[in-house]
Amino acid sequence: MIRSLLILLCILLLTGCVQKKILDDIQMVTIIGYDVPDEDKDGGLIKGIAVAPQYQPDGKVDNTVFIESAELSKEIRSQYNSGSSKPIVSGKLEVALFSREIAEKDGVIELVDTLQRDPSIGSRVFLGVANGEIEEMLSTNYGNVDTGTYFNDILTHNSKHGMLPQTNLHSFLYSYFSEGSDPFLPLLEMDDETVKIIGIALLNGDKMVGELDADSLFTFKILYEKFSSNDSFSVKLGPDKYASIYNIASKRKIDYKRAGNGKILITGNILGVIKEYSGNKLSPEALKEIKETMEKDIEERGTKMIKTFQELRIDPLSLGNVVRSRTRGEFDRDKWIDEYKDMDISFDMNVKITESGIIE
Amino acid sequence: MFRWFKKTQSPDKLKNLPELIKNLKESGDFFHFESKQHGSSFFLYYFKTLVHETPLNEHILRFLSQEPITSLKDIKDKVPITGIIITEDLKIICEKVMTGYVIVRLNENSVECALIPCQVKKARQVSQPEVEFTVVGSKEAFVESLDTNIHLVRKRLPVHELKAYELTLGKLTNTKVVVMYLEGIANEENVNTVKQRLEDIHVDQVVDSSVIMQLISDNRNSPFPQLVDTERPDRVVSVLCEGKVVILSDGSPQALIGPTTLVEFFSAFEDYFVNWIVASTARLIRFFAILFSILVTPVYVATLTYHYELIPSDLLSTLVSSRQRIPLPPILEALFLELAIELLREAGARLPTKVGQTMGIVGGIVIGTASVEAGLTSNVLLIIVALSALASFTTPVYRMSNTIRLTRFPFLIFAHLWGLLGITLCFSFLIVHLLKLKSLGRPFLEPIYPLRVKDLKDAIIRLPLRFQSTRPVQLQTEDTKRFNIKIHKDKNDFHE
Repeated sequence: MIRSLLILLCILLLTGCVQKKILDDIQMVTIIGYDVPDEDKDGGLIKGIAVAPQYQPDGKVDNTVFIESAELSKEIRSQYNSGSSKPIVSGKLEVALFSREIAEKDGVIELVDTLQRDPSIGSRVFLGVANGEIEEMLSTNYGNVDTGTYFNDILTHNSKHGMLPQTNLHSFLYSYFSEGSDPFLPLLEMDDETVKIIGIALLNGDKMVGELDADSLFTFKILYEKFSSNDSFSVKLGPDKYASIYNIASKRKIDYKRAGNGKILITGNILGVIKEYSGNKLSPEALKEIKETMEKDIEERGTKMIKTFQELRIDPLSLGNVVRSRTRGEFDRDKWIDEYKDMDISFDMNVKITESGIIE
Repeated sequence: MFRWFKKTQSPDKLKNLPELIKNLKESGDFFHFESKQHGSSFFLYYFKTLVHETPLNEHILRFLSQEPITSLKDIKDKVPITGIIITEDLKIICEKVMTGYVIVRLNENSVECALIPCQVKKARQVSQPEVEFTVVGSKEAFVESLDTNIHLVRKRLPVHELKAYELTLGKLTNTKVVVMYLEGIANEENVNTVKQRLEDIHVDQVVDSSVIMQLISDNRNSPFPQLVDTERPDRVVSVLCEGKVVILSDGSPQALIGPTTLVEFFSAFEDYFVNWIVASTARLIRFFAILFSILVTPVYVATLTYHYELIPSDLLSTLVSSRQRIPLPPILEALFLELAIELLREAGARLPTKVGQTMGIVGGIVIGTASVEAGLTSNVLLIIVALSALASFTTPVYRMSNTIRLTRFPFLIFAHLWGLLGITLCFSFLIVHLLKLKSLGRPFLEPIYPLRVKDLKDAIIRLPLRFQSTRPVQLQTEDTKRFNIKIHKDKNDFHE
């Protein structure tokens, strides 16, 4: 009896140690952006822009923007607090953006590290690189929606159904720390009153070294992962003659051993449906032409892309991981990078058109 | 406490019959009647309010006045009523006259008398069950008369194995209590446990079977009922056939069933009247409703107080904007609403039915909307609390639904103190308590723990009747087999 009373007493006394965060008494930051501060205006090394939504009782959402500069990113947080009516918390963070300048010059790992170290931040937070003025991008109101959710929605649906490969904090850290791959991040740009994904930023370690434009995303996705999407791919068959392929499902296969020593063969398999054809009649010959043109087109683009990667000495396709997992013994990263840049990597594409409409 | 009563009534203090009669005459409804005919005389004494007038006039008085009576034995021979007692024992006389016997003496000073049974049996007609109403199935419910109740059981179970062990409880109320069981099926240990526990009861009044239930429960400090009470004779018959023990008490329309398990409280008797798929779905919904009812308000308090990260972004704006103007922290907000619901329920239960309905409307609509408009509670919480109150009423056994509503409050407090961790802690306390509970010495959480796969056929889901061929393992019945299953292969009637 006495023992159970003591336990109860401990429970009651210990509750004083728990910190309460009542939902309507906190400021939840949903998106955060990092930029290099202007040297003459504000001091410090990093400028942080945080946006917190204010939900009004009538259903409206206002966004409060906090802009501060400091030496360390966590110092910025305490500066935000001095300008906020409620304590700022980071548990609902959905997107973290880095300006191109930071990504190219300073590298992003220090900033990502603070995100990763905060237990209240989930590992599914989106990371991205902002092309252009990040302060303006985050200060804009995108309709009656909180800015973080707006960015999150753009990135989510594009990586689920569109051509953007899956990226988030977890996958970034995985590629960054694993020996045989380099990370990449979505590249966003403000276009009038909306935000667009204009491609992906290629990173070597934590520094941005190159980019791929939106047109190359399809090829990159085929090379990078298995996917199925609702987006279309158009094949140019000749002047004024196009075909459009929808409902694409793709699988990639990497042959390392069978292709011979020091050689890698990437095979992509695509299933697709023809929805639009600008020619007269979709005859079996025409189908074959579409298929072959598409195969050739993607193969060309893919091979070119791989060449670029080799020149930049980066491995966003994580071929190194494939090699590491299929060879015995210790994996030597330096040796791999050395070999990688002149490796014979070939790309083979197979297209299968499953449907071409019901009228023959 | 009741010593004053003992002083006057106790037959120990009275020396002989004339003194007893003198004592009884102090009551206004005690009648005496003298007759002197044919040279013989007799004296009748009885309580007018306890005696049936018709047999008294038609049988007793007619026979007594027709023929000369010389001895008490004559009465026993001539009056056409069974159960006439001739005795000098004051204790018996006193007991019998209080239950509607007529005292007959041959002269005014004799100490010996004849006792003729002539009770008036006034009882409510057997009517429809009100607490456990089912759409299909029998529409009979127990009443306050023990004899009627036993009749309702016996007519459904006309076998000689059905035993009804009778005993009297309560020093003052002298309530007749009957333990019913099927000999050769019910485990003797269970029967003896019940008998022994009943015999050990020493209280002055047993006015209802719920008193017995509280007195013979294994853990009297638990909010959980450890015996099922029912008003349905068909349910009683069904559990008797399973090998359970049933306690019926005079003056109470509720029978007690034991040993029982937690899951039995969530099975309505209607589950056996409908198809097993329908019944199982209903049971699953009920279990979900219980968990929902206990946990949803605490989870609301915990997430809003501590775990804002867990709230989906799409829900965030709804929650925040609904709580924007509310000055109270989530726990006070929740307690305020839960208290309001409890007040409504209590007020509704105390008021007559027609006024009670108005109460519900006044409470539900006026208080609910007004408190939201006044900015005292958020409308999201109002929905949650109303739903969880509704969910708690899905429990078929009324006692259990009370317990479930009560369980919510410790959960709420723990949720406020420690968040989800507190809920987990409170839940483990609850589980430990349930694990320790016993019903007539049998584990209360069976068949979940101890796991008895055989008994799962009629627990969280109810399998078809052909799977119910064995009696519950928990009861350790003497005859485990209920029937032999023969599965006929259906002939295909379709000629293809």
